[in-house]
Amino acid sequence: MLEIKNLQASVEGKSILKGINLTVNPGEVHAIMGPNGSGKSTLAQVLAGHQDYEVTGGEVHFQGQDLLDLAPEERAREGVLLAFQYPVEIPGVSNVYFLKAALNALRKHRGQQELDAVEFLALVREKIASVQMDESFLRRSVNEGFSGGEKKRNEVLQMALLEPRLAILDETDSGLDIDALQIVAAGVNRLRSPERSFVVITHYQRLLNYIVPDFVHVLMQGRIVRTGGRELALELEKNGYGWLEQEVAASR
Amino acid sequence: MSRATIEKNLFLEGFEPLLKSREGEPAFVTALRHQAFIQFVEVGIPNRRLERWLHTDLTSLARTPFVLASAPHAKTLSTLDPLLLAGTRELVFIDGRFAPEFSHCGMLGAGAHLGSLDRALTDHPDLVEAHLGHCAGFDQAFTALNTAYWQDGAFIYLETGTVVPEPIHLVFLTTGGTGEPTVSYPRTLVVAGANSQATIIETYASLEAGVHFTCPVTEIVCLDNAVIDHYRLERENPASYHLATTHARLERDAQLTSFTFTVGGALVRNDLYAELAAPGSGCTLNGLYLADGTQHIDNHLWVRHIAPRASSRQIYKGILSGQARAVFNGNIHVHPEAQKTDAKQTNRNLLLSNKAIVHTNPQLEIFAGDVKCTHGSTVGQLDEDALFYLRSRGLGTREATSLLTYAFASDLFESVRPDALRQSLEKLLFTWLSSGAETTEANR
Repeated sequence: MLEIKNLQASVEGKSILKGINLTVNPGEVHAIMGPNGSGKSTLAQVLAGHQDYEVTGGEVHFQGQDLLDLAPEERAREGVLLAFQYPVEIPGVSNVYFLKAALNALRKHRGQQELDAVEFLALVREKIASVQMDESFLRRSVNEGFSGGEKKRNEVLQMALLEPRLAILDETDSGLDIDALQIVAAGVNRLRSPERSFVVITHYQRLLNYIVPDFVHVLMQGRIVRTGGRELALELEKNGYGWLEQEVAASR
Repeated sequence: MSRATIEKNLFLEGFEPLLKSREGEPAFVTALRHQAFIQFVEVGIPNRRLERWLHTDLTSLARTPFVLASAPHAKTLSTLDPLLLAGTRELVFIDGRFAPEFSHCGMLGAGAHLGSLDRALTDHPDLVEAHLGHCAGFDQAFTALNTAYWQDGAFIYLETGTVVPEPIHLVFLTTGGTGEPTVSYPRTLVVAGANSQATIIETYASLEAGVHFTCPVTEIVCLDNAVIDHYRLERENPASYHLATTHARLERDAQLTSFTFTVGGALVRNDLYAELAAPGSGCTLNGLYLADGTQHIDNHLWVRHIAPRASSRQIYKGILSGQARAVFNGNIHVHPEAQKTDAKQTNRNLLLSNKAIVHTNPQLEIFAGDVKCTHGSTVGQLDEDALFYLRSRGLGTREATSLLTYAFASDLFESVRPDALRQSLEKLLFTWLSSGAETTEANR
C-alpha cells in the first residue's frame, strides 16, 4: 500500500530525513517511535504534502501512485489522512461545514453523490457519538477554543467520517489524559480493517497498549535504526533510547 | 485658464439650467443651492495635496465631462427584481429622480412619513428647512455639489415614538448608459423623532455598464433616544464613480448602527460622519469592502464625540485581490467636554494578491482626560497553516481560499438584522469569491 524508499527531506535547508525506508501493507499498523527531533513529525508532514518540507531525494508510492507528485488535497482524496499533532484553529468556519465540505470533496472524487445537509447531519451525529464529543462541537468554529483532548478527538472524528485507506497519526496521544487516550484509541481501533493501514507516530509507548501495532520502528537522526515487534516498544519504555543511540553510534 | 479651472468648469455649466428647472421651489432651498455653489467654486475638485485626499486621486473624475442625468423613466424594470429585498418597503429613484411607479410610499403606519424629498418641500417645508444642509453642511466639495444640484431623494420623518417594523429600502438606480457620462446627486433626509425606531437600507446600482458618477448625500437626525439602523449597499457597475457622504447627528441616548458594504464601482469614496452630540448617544459603524481588478475603495470615518458618556464602535474589514487599492481612515475626535467617552476602532484587511495595496490610518484626536479609546489595524494574508489543514482534508486550493476568506468577513454579517439583507450580502460575498478566485490564484 505504502512504499517509502530512501526518502530524504529538509526544512529551511536543514536536512532532517536522511533515507527512510518503510513498507506498509494493507491492514497493518506500524508504530514509529523516536526521541525528540528525530524526524517523526517531518515524515508525517512530508507524507501529507506540506509545502515547507522539501523532498531532496527518494520515492514514495501509495497504491502504485507517486505520492510526492500529488497536491495535498489529491493525497487526501486518494485516501491518505494525517491526524495533526497540532490541529489548526480556523475561526469563522463551523466544524460541521468543514466536515461536510471535506467528506463531499472525497465523495465527489470517488464518483459518489455528495451528501446534502440532512443526510450529512445524520451521519455525523452517529460518528460524533462514537468519539464521545458533544454535538455542540459541530456548531463551533473548527478547533477554536477546543482543549487539547477535544482537538485530538476532532481529528479522530474526521478519520471516522472520511474513512481513509492510510491514516497517519502524528503524536495524537501527546498531552492526553488516560480517559481521552482511551477514547482516541477506541476510535482508531474501530476503524481497523484488513484494507486500512495505520502509521502511528508516538513519543510514548503507552499509546501502544491501546493501539497494538504489528511493527515498531525506531527513528533516529532521520533514519529508521531498528524495526521489531511490540516488544521493542516495551524495551524502549523500560530502558529509554540511550542504549540504542550508543549501538547506532558504535555501528558507524 | 488653468487646468484646474477647466476641470472645475465641467461641474459649473449645469447650474443655471438646473436653477431654471427648479423655479417655484421654496426660497430657502434656492438660497442653499447658491451658497453651496459658491462654496464649490471656491474649493473645486479636491487634489491629493489635501490630507483627506492623499491616497485617492480624482484626476480622471475631474476630467470627465459629466452631464446631469435626465433619462426618462422606464415603464418596466426587469433589472430591479434582483435588487429587491423581501419584507421591505421600497422607494426607487432613477438617476436621482423619484420613480413613484416602482415605489411604495405614503404612511408606513401612524407617525411614519415616507416619500420623496422634492415632494416634502411641499408637504413638510418647515421640517426640511430646519434640517436640510444643517447636519451635512457643505464645506467639502462633494456635499457642496450635491447641495447645489440635488433634484430628489428620500424623505423619512418619524414622529415622536413611532416604531417602523418593516425596513425601508431606498433603491438608487443609475442608468449609466454608454452615451455621455452622467452624474446624479441623490439627497436623503431622515428625521427620527424622539423614541422612534426604523431600519433604512440604501442600495446603489447601475442599470447599464457605462461611466457614471453618483454623488449622494444622506443626512440623519436622531432625536432623543431614537434608534436607527442604517445600511448602505454599493454595487454599481465597474466603470462608475461613487463619492458618498453620510452625516448623522445623535441627540441624547440616540443609537445609530451603520453597515456599509461596497462591492462595485471603479472609484468609491464614503465619508461617514457621526456626531455624538449629546450624552448617552452611541454608534456602531461597520463596513466591508471587496475590491478586485483596479478598483479603488476609500472609507473615511469621522466620529465626533462632542458630549460626555457617548460610545462608538467601528469595525471595517476589507478583502482585496488583483491590483485593487483600498483606503481606510478612521478619525475619532474627542471634544474637551466629552469625558467618559468609550471609543473603539478596528480595521482589518486581507490581501489575496501581492499587487493589492491598503492604506489604513487611524486618527485619534483626544482633548478630554477621562476617556477610553482604542484602535487597531491589520493587513495580512490568508493563514498558510489553515490553508494546508483544509487541503489535507481534500478541499482544493480555490475552495479552501474561498472558505477562509468568507470566514474572515462573515462575522460582520451577524450585526445585519434584516434577514433578506443578510442573505443578500452573504450571497454577494460568495459570488464575489467565486468569480474572483481565478484572478486570485493568478496573483498569488
